[in-house]
Amino acid sequence: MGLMREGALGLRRPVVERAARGREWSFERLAAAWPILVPCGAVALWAVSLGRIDHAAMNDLGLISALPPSIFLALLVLVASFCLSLRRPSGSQIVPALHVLALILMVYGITPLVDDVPRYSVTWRHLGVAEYVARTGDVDPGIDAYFNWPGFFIMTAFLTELAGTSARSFVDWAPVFYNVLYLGPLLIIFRAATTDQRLVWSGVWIFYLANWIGQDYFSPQGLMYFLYLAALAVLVRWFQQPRERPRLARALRAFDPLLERLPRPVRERGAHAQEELRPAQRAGLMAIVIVLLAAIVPSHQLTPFMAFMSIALLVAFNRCSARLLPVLVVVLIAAWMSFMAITYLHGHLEQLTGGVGQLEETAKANVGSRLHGSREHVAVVYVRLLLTAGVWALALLGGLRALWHEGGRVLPYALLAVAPFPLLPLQPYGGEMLMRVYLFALPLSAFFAAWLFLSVRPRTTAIFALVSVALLAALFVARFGNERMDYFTPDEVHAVERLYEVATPGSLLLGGSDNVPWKFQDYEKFDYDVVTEPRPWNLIDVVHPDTRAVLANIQRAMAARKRTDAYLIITRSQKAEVDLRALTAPGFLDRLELAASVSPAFRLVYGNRDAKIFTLAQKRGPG
Amino acid sequence: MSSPSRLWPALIVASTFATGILVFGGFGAPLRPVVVLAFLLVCPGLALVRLLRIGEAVTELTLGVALSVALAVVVPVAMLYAGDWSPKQSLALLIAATLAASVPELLRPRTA
Repeated sequence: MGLMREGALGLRRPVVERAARGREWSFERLAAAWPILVPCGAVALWAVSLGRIDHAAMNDLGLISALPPSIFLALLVLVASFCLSLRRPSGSQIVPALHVLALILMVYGITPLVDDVPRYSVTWRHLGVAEYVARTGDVDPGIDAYFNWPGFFIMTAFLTELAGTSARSFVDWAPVFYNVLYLGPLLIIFRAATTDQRLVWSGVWIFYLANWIGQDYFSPQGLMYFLYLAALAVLVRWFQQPRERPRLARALRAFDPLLERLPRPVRERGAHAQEELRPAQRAGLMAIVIVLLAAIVPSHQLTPFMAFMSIALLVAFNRCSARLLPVLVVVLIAAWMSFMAITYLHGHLEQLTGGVGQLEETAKANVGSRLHGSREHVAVVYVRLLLTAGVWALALLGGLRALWHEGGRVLPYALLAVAPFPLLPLQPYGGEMLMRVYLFALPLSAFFAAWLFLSVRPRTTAIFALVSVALLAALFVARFGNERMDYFTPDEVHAVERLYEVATPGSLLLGGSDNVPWKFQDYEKFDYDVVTEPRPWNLIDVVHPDTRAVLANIQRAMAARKRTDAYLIITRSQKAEVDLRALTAPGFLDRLELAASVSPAFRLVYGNRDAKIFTLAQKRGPG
Repeated sequence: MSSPSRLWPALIVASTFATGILVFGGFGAPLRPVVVLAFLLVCPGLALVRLLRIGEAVTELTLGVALSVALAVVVPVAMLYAGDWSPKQSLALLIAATLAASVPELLRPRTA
């Protein structure tokens, strides 16, 4: 109609045609650009919605209970856009990369943007260990386990000293930073397994939708996980060529007829051909792997064992030509533990080896003891278990499909998916081994899960979108389910800063629980304890705690400090933790705080909306 | 204009000199944290990885960052346990390694 009117107005035909072509061209360009524009729009909607997140409205379901609907809408748009973009025949890597980066920002970037101060009490402890190294230029293995595996903290001290800044200014962004880092090795590993880019990006997408473990905060394990993935990436990309079988691999020859009977690939989705490397390249890549492993071993207790399991399985099944590498990992681990971590081992050998084969204890520590807390928190724990089981179920089904289509070619990747599991019965790892096994199995679990959504049929796209939405919803509950206790307010941090101003070195610092942003400075100079766990000096009945009796115990413990001071600090996040995890009776810390406030034996040293610090009334301290 | 093959070594060398000047010249924020952290987390590893001529940008960058992080752990750990904790000495070592790997690539005559 418009064109006809323009024609009627007497415009020359070529002008009209050019204008029409221009509009058509613009429309086509716009239509072609939707895979870029839509994720950008989703990020924009998400960004403007962040200001409406209200921490005060949060319940024990965590962050999901405080998110405005527009954030869910933005995420739904992103999911739909990604799933539809996979149907495009274009081989562009920019579109899926943009979606994945948007997903990382929109999931892992929420808390750094809405939190005023770094979250997790353990983050503050890690800052304190790095501060110790920077201040003293030394490590004291007698202080605690961190000082026996101090690589990450020495690196942090090194970086911040040279950068002339405090790690506190950037630690909150660790989840975004680490997850962006993980993308590189994931792409290398998945591209070594397949040339189908839809499969590669679907696997990456599922990885980020299922990474609920939350170990990617400012922690050694978060960074070492990147080095672990990078080492595996080099091995599966360049060192897979089977060579003459070693003795162990010969013993596993029984699997060959089974693998050979499997059907040949239906479609060419095969791995990158293992290109021939020049000897110098081969030596250089192996040197990189060795340096990565040499950095992992002094930085974290568990990651070297995970690396050993993965590499040893590849070698055992003749899927890695670097046959001496597992031996090297063992030598590195043994050398570090024998010389540098011997102080820790002396005091904890029983604890480290006592869990071997104790399946019931491990199950109780990893699952049973976690099904405890407020009603909403127990629901969160069930969602975590369901998400874990769901991802493994998808991986199993997808793995069977991959095996059916690709035969033995998927074996190295299947080995990497199962490699962490043998560690499960060996060590409960403080009740966290199941989570760590899930994390280390996740990259290849996600890759195999993606095999279920290979088809470009509309029905498969719709199912993939639904699965993505389900994973995303579960991720928000599972990952941010403890948010009410995990975030800190500036008032809580101010209170702890005030505590370090008034407390003399050697003072006893008592917390309502250990969930405090403390230990970030003068790590070794104070004695720390908590009042909601039974101790010889405080035999608290955690089911029915007697406030007056506990306060009397605290008073005695504080009075026993003759030469130094003693302080009791009670904060908002401690109360949240006690109630959420049901450490003791709900509201106990409120009652304890009130009792200390009215007791003539205690004096308020500092107080604000979210924290109060008490000391004994008869001891005159600064305040 | 630099050819693509020279862009990275040029950036690495420039970043190395900038880091050296900022740290040893005693300059402060806001430039120093950004430049120094970017250098330490990317450049030493990337300079060394480029010697292998893998030829894939994502792979080189991934391995370069991983190797840089690993070197930022291994070098200061070794110096601390050797009883010689000195971030500036560790930095000097990394700067030397980075320049040794990058400058020859930068100076190599172009091929048609």
